[in-house]
Amino acid sequence: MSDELWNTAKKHFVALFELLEKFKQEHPNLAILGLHEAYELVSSTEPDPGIRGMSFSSLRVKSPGGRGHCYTLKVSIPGYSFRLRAVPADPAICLLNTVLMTGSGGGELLAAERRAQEKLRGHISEEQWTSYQLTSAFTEQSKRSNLLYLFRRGFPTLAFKSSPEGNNFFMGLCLHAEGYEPFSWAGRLCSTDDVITALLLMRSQEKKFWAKAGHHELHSPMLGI
Amino acid sequence: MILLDILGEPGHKQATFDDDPSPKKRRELAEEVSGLMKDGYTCFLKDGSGEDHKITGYDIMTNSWMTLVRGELVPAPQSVVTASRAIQGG
Repeated sequence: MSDELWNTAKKHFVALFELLEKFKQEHPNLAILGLHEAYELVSSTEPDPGIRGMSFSSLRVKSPGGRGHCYTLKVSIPGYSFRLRAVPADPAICLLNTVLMTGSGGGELLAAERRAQEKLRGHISEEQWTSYQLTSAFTEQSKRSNLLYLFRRGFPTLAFKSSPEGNNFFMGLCLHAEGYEPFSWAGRLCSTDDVITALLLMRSQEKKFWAKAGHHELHSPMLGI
Repeated sequence: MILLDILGEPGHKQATFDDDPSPKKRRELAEEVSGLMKDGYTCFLKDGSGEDHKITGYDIMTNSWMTLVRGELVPAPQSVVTASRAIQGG
């Protein structure tokens, strides 16, 4: 990279960090997780499409609204657009919100949870069911990818890579049956319905399960560990 | 009995159909399933061997489910289909 190109790129990175700093001050309860998506808006045949005339023109947060969208911090520059994921900075607040929201569901949600558990029981083995009753989680190894999944009630599913040395954490996958409440792990339905959805999608269409779920890396506060 | 279990509200919404439904009921079932898919639901079928498959539709003529795996038809009688939207979490 030439000096001129490097200096131009550095200038724009500094501008980006300034914008992110401003965002952090305006939204102290959110943490920026990392680059979620970056895509080119112009034809790749143009010479140096991203470097000339770069300036950060917009910075906005997409609110969750509707059915379960993640918070996305969008940074647009002529030619390119970046999306960064913004998540609640404090997992303790998420847990508090989850308990408050789930608790407010009342008896109706409790009856729904019992019904969902009966349904789940019909889909898993006796050993998995015992594990679910004792620890609110059970494991299942994928026949396709050989990944080991840990399905947890009320928290994202964890995927592990199996190796002769043991299991290594790979990714956390967050999926809900019918939307979720922002700043929490609470789904709009009871938590076992979310487990059923994740389990059935993993079994029937694992690729789609990964495509649909929100991904959380090991140190993400949203992983719920 | 053919059971449609829809994970769209707490406690689930359910619809039941006879194992050998009349042509009118078969049309209703096909419309119900395609309506769910249009609304963004993914439908799962648990077959006799305990395997879970995604279904792509209901065949009125043969009273069977069309599955994603090689377009295989699975008889509908005594089946349970679970429908869920599967929304990305935050």
